[in-house]
Amino acid sequence: MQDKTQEKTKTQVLTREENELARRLRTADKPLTVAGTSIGRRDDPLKVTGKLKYGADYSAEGFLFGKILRSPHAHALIKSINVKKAQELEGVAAVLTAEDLPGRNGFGAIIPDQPVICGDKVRFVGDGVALVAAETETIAHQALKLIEVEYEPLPGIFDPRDAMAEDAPKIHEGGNILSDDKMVKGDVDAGFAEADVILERTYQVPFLEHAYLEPDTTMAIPQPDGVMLIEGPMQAPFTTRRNVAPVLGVPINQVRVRQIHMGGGFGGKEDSPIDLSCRAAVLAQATGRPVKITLEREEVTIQTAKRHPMIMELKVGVKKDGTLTAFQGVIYDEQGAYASLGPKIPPAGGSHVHAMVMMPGPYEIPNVKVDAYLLYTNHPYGGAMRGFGAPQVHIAHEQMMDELAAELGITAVDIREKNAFRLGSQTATGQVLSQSVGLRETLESCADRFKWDERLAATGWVDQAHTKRRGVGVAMGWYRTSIGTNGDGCGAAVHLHEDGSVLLYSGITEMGQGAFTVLPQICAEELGIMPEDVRLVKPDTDLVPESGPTVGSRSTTLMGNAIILAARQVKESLMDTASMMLMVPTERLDAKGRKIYDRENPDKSLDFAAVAARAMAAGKRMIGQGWWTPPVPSLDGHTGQGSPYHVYTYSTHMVQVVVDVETGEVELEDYVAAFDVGKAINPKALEGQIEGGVAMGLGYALMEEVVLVEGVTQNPSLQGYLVPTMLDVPDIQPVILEVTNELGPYGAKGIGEMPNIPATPAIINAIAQASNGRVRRLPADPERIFWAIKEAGGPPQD
Amino acid sequence: MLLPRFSYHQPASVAEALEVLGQHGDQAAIIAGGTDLLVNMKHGKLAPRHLVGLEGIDGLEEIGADNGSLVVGPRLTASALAASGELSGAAQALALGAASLGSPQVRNRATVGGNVCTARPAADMCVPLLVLGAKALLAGPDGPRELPLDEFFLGPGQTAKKPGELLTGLSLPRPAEGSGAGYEKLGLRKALEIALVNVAAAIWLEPDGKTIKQAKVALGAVAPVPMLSPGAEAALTGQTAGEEAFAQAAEAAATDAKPISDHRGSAQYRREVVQVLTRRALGQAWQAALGQ
Ligand SMILES: Cc1cc2nc3c(=O)[nH]c(=O)nc-3n(C[C@H](O)[C@H](O)[C@H](O)COP(=O)(O)OP(=O)(O)OC[C@H]3O[C@@H](n4cnc5c(N)ncnc54)[C@H](O)[C@@H]3O)c2cc1C
Repeated sequence: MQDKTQEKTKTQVLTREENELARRLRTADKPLTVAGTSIGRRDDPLKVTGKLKYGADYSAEGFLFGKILRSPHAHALIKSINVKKAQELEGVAAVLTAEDLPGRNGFGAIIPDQPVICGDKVRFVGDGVALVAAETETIAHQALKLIEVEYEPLPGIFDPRDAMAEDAPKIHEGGNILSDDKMVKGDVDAGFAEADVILERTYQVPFLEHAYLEPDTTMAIPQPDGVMLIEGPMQAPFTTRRNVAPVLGVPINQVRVRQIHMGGGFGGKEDSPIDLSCRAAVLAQATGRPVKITLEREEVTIQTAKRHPMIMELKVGVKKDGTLTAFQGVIYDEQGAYASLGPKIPPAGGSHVHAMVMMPGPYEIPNVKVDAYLLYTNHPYGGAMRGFGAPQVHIAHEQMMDELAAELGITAVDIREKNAFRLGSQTATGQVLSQSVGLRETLESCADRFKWDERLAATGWVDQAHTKRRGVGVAMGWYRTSIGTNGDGCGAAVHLHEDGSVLLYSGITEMGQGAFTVLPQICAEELGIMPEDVRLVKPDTDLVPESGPTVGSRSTTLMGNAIILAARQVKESLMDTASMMLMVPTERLDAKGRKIYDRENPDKSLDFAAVAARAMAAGKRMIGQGWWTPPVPSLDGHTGQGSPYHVYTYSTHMVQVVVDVETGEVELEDYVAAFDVGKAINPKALEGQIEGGVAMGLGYALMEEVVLVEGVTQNPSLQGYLVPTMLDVPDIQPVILEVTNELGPYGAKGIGEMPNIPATPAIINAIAQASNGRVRRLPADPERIFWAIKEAGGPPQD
Repeated sequence: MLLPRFSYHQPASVAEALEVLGQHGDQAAIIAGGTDLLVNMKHGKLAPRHLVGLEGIDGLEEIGADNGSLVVGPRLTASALAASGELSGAAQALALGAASLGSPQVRNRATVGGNVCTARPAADMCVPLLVLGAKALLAGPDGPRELPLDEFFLGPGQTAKKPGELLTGLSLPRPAEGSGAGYEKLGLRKALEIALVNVAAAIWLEPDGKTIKQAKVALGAVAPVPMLSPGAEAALTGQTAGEEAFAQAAEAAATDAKPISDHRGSAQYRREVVQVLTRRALGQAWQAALGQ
């Protein structure tokens, strides 16, 4: 949208591999007509009229209700289990324990360390020890009460640092350290020697619940031919299938997974559907009947994956002028009871490695050392949640930047300007940022729109009684597109019909982020037709190509590319056909607005549909298949050096707050968030992502926390687990910048996760700027702010 | 999370209601908006077989006058009370409390009778009612009786209402000239939030417009029941309204408060906040009493 950003793309230096990939994607130089426009979301009319069906709306006629008996202990041995009384209850179709399982007793998004049904031991409050299927929900509830389990409690681990002790009780056979990763660049000791100021700080964040509106639901429906059909809201149908098959003891092609519309996922519906689908499937297999499991809200909080808590120790050196010289960090990353999405998938997949890579922030720092430990505890487990390890470390480095600036007497913007990445910068992993680096542009535009200088000068007391102070805060951020594994491929298929209509097959799921609108937009752009000409086939593992999971802000970019490549194949048939019909060479042909025309003589054109009919009649290829794999990632297992992710989205947020220094309450007054997204395929949908993301980051900053005491969740319902309401969210002004990504569809990069990441530290920084109250252990609720102000000796007095 | 089965009764008079209640004893429960009752039933904490709705009884949904007092009908919703023109002067406290309860949807269902009978320590309508010296009007098998609200609340969820009794109204003194109310609520978010601390204050001024004839301060979430602060009242009566008197009353209120620490907040913080909110609620009440 801004001209100067175009300049930057010209100086980008791509590697040979990147160049080759970029060449494959390059489109004819013509203005976009469909991509880049704010068409309405396809699911909106269905949602606002209440017609869209969510999991619980699907009729359960003929279904059995599945229920899970959960461990009340955080860590215990199972001495005995007696299900006789439950089995005898009328209306109970099956009661399963570990002994009854047909296949692998384990599932997991990365490693199958979580039992489908615990056999000998439980590792968190909520672990499943028996499964029940009954004719009604009430009977299923009653049956659970009739199961007798004898436990022998074991000492539990509730602080990740305790998990590392030599004599700590072992939660899993292999010990409590699930991953121990390092990133070393330069020489931190030399870096600290050069520094004028060195600060050491510890920041801490709690478990977070996604609090998606729709509680999890899964239906397992045995088919007459022996196939197990799984239906439910989920982000990762292929990962689900990959888990259900071995648990049932059948090949992957005997399991069919169909996604239904999700009422929110935020990363949480990556692994909870694996859990529920495995459990519903074994019940369905045992009874030969369809089984539905729907979690209650409290079960969602207790049982499903959370955002990982982290304790982050930072030591950072800086010169007087604000130049960073050394960054040293330690992360105690709490995995909880099971591995979920924490551990490493080489070279750089999994949330833990991602957190490590992101930890020093989007800054050029010559000397870096990070030690990152991923630790089992007897708490619920950490999984994916909008940012995958990045929100936590941003909270640390962005607060540290402000603390350093304050120490040096320079502004929060100055210190960021001094160190922020630019094109050609080297990251802490030694990766040279070769293209699409718009971080500084976001800082500039954000400060412009927010009027940073004026507002900063105007901070201070709001009232004569000196009870409220106004302050401003800034935070920057970066986030990868793609997931850093070697196997991050994504497939799509495009079927053209003789009337010009198109079916698009994609395994990317819709969870409210707009994929089902944006992906057809890309397909229509490439073919020169209208978005409504493209019908999207919903994710169904029997129909759509493997697309990987809908995570990592990868959908628009990776799937977009796959769609472009698929569409090209049928476009070739169309152009060949049109070329013969118009007697114009194919190089001169273009397609737009349902017309195929001669670029040199646009009046010479044909209807898209007529060409499609002719192509079909001539036996031309009507099916296109696309497969896109991003550049091969790298990250050395010992030094943490390499190029883990191929491109990054950048952002700067600024916020103005008023802090009530007598009570610690905070009011957000104004918010500007700027992003370099490469290309906004649907600007309106993008703004929706930004607003929702900021609201989520606000919850993390001010109120959200799963409170655990000895492993027991104290606030499982939404009465106790607070998320922001409309009244808490300020007006949010999005600023969209487009620094072309040579490896994205029309230049796009991922945006799903980025918006919530800088929001949290921006707010925390603003609170500190306003009141002196710096809260290093989140959430910054009124009480923590109150004490932080006291600890700082009171608010500024000017 | 399923609602247990129950049958529904809709008596047409108080007498009929008492009869149904008498018939079913502890198997019966009165339902008003259901925003507490149904939640408890879903959680399996209660399983009454008979629900008794009062919507068929005339006169329970209005504010009536009864020589010198206002009688607030128990079925008035928080929305209705928040918008009521009859709650002027000190009685405005109830409207302010009602306006801060839950969210619009909840306020449209939640009744003042339900709020009082549920008797939560942080209840947004109970705390204001205390500063108004409200009395609970009860009807029962042994006839009607009145009970000052501070004697009505016995503990979290516990009241002096006997089984088989019905709350038919809350009586308050008629709004007086030169009186005003203030209400302060501290929570982690701006709506749908049970207070961490809430404070209501009411001030009645002498005709000189300066001297405090009477003042009351009530505190929520700092004791097992919503409570009046006798210390604050003593510190204010007869004093000149203003920051100094309010600061002293606030200190007394903090001393009277008996907060505990839980995962939502520490006792020490709650005590500190009581002081701040009392000061502010009194300031607000004073401004209102002066007609500002
Ligand atoms: C989402 C949500 C948010 C909430 N937020 C708040 C809040 O911010 N502040 C707050 O104070 N409360 C809050 N509540 C609690 C609740 O809404 C209030 O306490 C409300 O006033 C209860 O009124 P009701 O009419 O719904 O009562 P009901 O649920 O119908 O009844 C509650 C109890 O009172 C008894 N009862 C009702 N009427 C009578 C009568 N006339 N005689 C005898 N007994 C009677 C019932 O038997 C029952 O035991 C919230 C509840 C929900 C679900």
